Amino acid sequence: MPLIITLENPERKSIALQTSTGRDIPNEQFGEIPPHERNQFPDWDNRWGWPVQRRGEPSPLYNCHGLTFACRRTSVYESSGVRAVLEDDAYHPIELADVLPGDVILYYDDNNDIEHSGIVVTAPAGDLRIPLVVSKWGKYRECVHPANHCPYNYATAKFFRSRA
Amino acid sequence: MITPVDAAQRRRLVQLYGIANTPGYLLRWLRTDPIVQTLAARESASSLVAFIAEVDANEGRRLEDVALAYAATAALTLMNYSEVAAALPFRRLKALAWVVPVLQLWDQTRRSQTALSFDAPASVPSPEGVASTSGTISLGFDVG
Repeated sequence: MPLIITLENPERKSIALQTSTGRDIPNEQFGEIPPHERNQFPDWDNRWGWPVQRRGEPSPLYNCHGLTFACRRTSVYESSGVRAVLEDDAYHPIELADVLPGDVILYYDDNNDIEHSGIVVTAPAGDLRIPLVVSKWGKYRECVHPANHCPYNYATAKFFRSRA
Repeated sequence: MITPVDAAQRRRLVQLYGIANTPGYLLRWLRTDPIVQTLAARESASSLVAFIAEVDANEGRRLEDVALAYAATAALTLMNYSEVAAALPFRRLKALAWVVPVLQLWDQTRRSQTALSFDAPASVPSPEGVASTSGTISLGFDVG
């Protein structure tokens, strides 16, 4: 007995978003947080300390995948949508040693769902070879941070590059 | 009215809600939260559903209300399936976008497994105060 037959989703506000081969990517522009509440998020960047730099204000309009793959225009929260982009836009995995600015980092959970993504802004550096990335933390703000310094699972992170 | 949640607990829920990029992430961490487990233990499915509907319908809802509504949603996934199914009204939610996806995740897992576990991986840096516990929650369900 499907549980969800008795409950329907809110009407979604989405935009036309496709992969390079024309496959539609499910997306949604969230409106569940009233505008006057959007600056009420606790300061996560302060919680995560000095390596994290704020970039922009909190916004529910786009999430991490919306930043990485949709130019900050909307939220993409289904892994299937991200996988479609990876496939159709010819992303391929690269080793940490080869990572360059502009590459993409994906964080996976234990079920292999993509729980976070970001864009590399500096190549791996330091003894630990950790790149700096810019990513959007959910409905919170964009942050520039070492790839391993965020509330997502760096242990399973992988790097990708498109078409290069 | 559901079980009172103090300011620190609300703040923790808001933090978790704020950084969740996907319904799966939100559900996985909320299920480990003591408040969610308390809600599941103390509240009825119908009272949680009523609270979610109330927040959804309130145009002046606060960020804390939204986060608490998702905590209530996650609490539903820790409850008896039949009780939850019976409590859900036939209605369209107006605003809360991830209530249905979260319940769908639960429902999909419930239908594919007789027992499910959500692991809070020890390798993940726990958000301060957000996931104050980690480990495995195992649930058994009647299938069919």
